[in-house]
Amino acid sequence: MGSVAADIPGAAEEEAQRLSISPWRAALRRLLRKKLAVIALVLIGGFYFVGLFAPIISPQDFRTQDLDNTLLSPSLDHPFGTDRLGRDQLSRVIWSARTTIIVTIATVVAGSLVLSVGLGLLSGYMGGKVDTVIMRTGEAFGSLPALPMLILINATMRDRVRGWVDSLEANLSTGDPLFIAILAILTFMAVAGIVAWLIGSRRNGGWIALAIVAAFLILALWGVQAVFAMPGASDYFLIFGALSLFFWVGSARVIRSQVLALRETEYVIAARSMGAGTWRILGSHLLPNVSPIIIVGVSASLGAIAGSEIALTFLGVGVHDPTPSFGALIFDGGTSQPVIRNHPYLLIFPAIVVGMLIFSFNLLGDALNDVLTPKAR
Amino acid sequence: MQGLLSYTIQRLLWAPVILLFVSFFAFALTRLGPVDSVDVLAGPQANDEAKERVRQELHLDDSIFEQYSVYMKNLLTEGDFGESVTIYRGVPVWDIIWPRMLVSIQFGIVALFFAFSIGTLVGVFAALRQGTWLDPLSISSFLFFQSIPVLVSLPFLVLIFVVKLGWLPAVGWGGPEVDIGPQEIALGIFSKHIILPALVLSLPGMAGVARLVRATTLSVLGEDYVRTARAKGLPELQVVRSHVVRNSLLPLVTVIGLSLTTLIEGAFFVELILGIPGIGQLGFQAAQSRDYDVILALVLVIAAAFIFINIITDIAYTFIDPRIRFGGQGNN
Repeated sequence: MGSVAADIPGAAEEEAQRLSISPWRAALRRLLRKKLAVIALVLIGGFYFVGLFAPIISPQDFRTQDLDNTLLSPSLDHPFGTDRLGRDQLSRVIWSARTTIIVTIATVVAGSLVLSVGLGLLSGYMGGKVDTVIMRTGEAFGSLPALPMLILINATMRDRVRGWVDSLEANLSTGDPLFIAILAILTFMAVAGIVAWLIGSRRNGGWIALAIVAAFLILALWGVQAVFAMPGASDYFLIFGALSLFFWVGSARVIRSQVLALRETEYVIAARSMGAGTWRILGSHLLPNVSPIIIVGVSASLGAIAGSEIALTFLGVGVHDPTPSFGALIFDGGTSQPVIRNHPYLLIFPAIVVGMLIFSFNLLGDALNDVLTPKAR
Repeated sequence: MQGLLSYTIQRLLWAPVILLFVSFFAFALTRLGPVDSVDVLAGPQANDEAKERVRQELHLDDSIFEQYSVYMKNLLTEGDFGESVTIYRGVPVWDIIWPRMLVSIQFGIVALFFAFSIGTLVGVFAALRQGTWLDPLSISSFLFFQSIPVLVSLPFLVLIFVVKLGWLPAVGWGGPEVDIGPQEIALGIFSKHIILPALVLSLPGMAGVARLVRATTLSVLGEDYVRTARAKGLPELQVVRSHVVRNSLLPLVTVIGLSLTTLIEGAFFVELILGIPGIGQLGFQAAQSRDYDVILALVLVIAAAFIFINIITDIAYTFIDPRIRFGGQGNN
């Protein structure tokens, strides 16, 4: 795999040269020519749209109980029926989409992007002891069946994480002078980093790295603030934290082997001999060349991440009532035979939505793999 | 063979290190994770006296390393995983886990068999029909089965085969009983109860096997020796059987480890939904009732089995295919 992937954008490169467009645009064109991939993209896009705008789109609040109208069959008022507490199933499905979105995005950012890219690049470029430590740790995590470990982590750490989140939530508010001060410092760092980078005639990658880190922290602060405002925030933290532990290994390993090959290419040696620093080489020479692998890796893991959250919630160690999740919906609708027999719609609608979503993730991952890595053509 | 031997020894030495790491990680979670672990480890109804006794017995006031060494000493010298505190109060954990493992293993093996036999047939079939509509049809439908999590597909199968058609027994587990010491277990492998769990667990693995076999068969079909075999006038069936399939099945060894993950993870949902008394159901009950020593033992047993099987696969693979000697991982 590694040696084949050494000329990664190669798949689209010939086409790019022929049409004189960038390899990325060529890859996009190839992707859009695959019908299944486009359908998958549309489905995923629709899912994320619905989930993001859940408060506006959902016809009712997911908590509103109507005990006079429990277990109604699908009708115009309740297209997906109502559950045993009279809650509108359609609204619960829409809000469950939101849960899936939060967990997938958080895990991808924390686990796939930050951990696996960072550690993969470091491990491949630094080599030696750093490499050994990172890769052995990864091997230890990767050689385990994740689900039992995730159950153990979530079952034991739940109360503690809730305590942490509660205390953080109490101490961290947008009006707090400390919060504003931290935000101001970070903003200054971001701006200063960009300015210094521009003045330094874009030589020193360290400045842009500083700016990116600062910008990332700002975003993370706001994101954390927004997540804290939601009920069940601690569950989200626990889930994505635990998932990140297990989902960085695969892509980190691929990125590392790619970097090992790229480290010896002429342009990296040239850059090093011209005096470019480690950060600049990592940031502007190696990162762009491994980004196709990163995209393939992320898209391949999305389905597994979404599936894991659902599985954990199903087993009672994920998000908890009243926060809706597909895991809880399927547990309610699919584990007791009287419910399956008499109210199959409680199972069918959520199961179809989540089944299509995970299938789409995998279709897209497959297509991206075809488009971005040359061998699989 | 020199390289193979040292590689084998290296792998075998590495296994205890990983196990040690995992066991410490898991142990620390059960002792340090809860806000006050004595509340959990003594059970919900414990009074102060009982808590004090548990605190003494488990050395909860000592450092985590001392607690860990006591636990590991009991485990390694006496096979003692501790006692259950909530599910079956006072029963040794091993006596709870062992009969349930035997149940899970039964449908696990049948599922593995289904996955590999049917998956291989479909994969070879799709590869031989490459270029016709049958190939993409079979392969994308298999990607579908691979994508759908067990917990989504199983309720549907229950809806169809149990509720609507009534072909399969409603729930649970049954069959001839055998006595294995702590209790009796049913041999579901000799009854209809095995069908649904084995079928649903084999679907994702079957898809993976089929896709892999298709890919390898396609590459083997392009080899010179296949062309030679055809050119010398061998009947097509014999070409496929003795030249193509035999060579395209080699890489299958690597996915046994992967399918094992699917099996173990799937067991949780299958047993929960169908009410089968195996380790998955036990894990769920233990997580729900905070019986942490039971989960800890489960994690350790599963991890050990997993690492062991992965090593065997690795070594078997290097034996079977001489091209992949010396590990191959790393500097490729």
